Amino acid sequence: MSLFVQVLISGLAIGAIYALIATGFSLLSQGSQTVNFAQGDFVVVPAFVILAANSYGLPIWASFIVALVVAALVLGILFKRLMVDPILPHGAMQLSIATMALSIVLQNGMLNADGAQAFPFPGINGGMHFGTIFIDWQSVSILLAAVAAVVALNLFMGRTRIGRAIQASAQGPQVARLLGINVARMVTITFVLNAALVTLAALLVSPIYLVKFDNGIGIGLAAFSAAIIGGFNQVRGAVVGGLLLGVVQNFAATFGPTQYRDAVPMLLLIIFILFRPQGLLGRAEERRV
Amino acid sequence: MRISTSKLAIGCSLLAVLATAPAAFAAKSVLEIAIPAELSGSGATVGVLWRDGVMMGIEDVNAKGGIRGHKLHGTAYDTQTNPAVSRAVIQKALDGKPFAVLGPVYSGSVIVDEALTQKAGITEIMGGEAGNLTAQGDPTLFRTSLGQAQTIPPLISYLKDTVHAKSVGASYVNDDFGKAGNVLFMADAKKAGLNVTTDISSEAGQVTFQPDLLKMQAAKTDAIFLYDHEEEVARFLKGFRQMGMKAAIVGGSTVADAQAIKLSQGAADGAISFAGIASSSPLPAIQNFVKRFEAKYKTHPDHNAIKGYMAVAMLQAGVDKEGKASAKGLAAALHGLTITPDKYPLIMTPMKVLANGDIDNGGYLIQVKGGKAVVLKYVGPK
Repeated sequence: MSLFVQVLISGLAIGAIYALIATGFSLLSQGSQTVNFAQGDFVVVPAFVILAANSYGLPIWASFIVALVVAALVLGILFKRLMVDPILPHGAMQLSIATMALSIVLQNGMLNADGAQAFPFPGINGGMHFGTIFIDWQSVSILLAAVAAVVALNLFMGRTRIGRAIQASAQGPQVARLLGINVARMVTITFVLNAALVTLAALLVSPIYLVKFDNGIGIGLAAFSAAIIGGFNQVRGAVVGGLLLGVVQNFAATFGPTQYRDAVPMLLLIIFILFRPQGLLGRAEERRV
Repeated sequence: MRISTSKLAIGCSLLAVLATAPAAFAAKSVLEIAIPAELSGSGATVGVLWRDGVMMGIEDVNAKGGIRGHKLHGTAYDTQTNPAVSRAVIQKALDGKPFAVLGPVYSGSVIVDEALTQKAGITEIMGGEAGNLTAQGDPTLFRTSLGQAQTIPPLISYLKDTVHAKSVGASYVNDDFGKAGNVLFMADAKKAGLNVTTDISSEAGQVTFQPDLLKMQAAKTDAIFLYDHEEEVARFLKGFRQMGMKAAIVGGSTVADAQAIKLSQGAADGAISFAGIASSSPLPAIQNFVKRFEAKYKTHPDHNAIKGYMAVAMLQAGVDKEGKASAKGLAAALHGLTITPDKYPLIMTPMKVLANGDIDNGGYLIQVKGGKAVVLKYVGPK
């Protein structure tokens, strides 16, 4: 029983990180039809910024704020202005391919700037015994931070004027414009929100993954799968998909044949694509040709 | 037309210089050294240090006039920690007719490319440690460190005699290096009467080891045998400490490697390994190398950097035994050679090259203490 609980908690912790990144996927997709295949690399960039700021003597919380500002500017505003705005009018497919190219550029940029080696990242050590169950603080802090971020995001989107304006812009940009909403600004805010989510994910995942230029490949794939499993057009779906994927991955690795640990989440993804392509909480979308 | 005697003399001299120049340059031709290494991908942690070690060796040899008058020139190739890419880059390197190939480090890459160097008759001095590499019967393949058949038995003895372990959990990386080590460990553990409670494979580049650790925790093992690469070792050990586990950790040279220690941020403390060479060795030559390497590359060298550096010394000694710089005869010259630091300072510790391409230079039982690898015991060459 204790093994089951521990596997569940550590699965939820890693799934919470997937959920954060998948939420960003979903936000960008809804807000601007952008499927960002560089999303995994977007997590690695702030991790390097945090390390760089930390190496100049800033405490980790201050380094995180520096990374938030840098990510908001570079991965939020600049990404939108220099890449999304010029390419999106040519089609969402073209933009998706451009983000794949961006992923390669970011990876090689980080490789040249920081080298191919991994870097250590400060984390939280220790934990607590509950009978035979040991809960480590790192997992607990990941879960709490991720849940807090998702709740805050939901409150922001549902309870604030800007949040509702973002939703209106995503659901019907033309109607939103008629209602006096500055749709372009709302889309920019969506990109900044995504930048904040990936920066938080960087802070949470890096103590476990270490910081390395190509970490984004695995992270991005997992988060993309989570978004599809949960439902690409629903933020809540991305959260559920992320948690489910993390838990399934952990249970498969613990109780299944270890050689196939990476295959099980992919199998789950295939099953969803075949039998429930809209995902767990997503809406089926019709398209007229 | 009349030509003065002095002009004729100058002209003849010039012609003589031009005529003899190719011979003079040929006598001092540059020996091209191909350095395939894991410069990106999950093995970059070790490959970059190997390349830098080789490059530093080449610089040191060139500073002393080269090998028998021949300067060395190294060209690094990135295998991307991918055996298929490794094979392709070695083919590319061989097309350039190198004098020798120094690398790669990952056994999985060596196993697929050694046939190419063997076919070309070019000596390959590599960093792989998998036991089966030198069992292929390739006369052109040489190690720079002990193989698994030499490093695993001392760890079994340590588990039995010092830890007094009754049960052991094994964790190994699912590649040629890890699988070969695991096979040897399982056989030796059985012979020693150790109960292997869990035998878990992981993937290269694996980022979380919590499921593996939870299985081991549930099995209540006295010790863990960890056979993985540096980054994964660090992730495993961080998870191990975070979960408050207490089992003794023993493993391959990577467990007490400088990179693994740095990345694990204190989690490697207490881990034990047995390695043929170690940057924590108290030998003055090795400590001097460590200082120079740190000053030059601004990073601490691990055993892979030392292995790369020593590979250049093996070249030096091989060419000297040959009596000339002939790529085709180098491998034959290396077999059975004993290389000593008094004649070849780059070798740093006496090394015997065995008939199958293995080497014997003794070994160190190492423990990580306070974030540093500390030598517990030195076992001399047989």
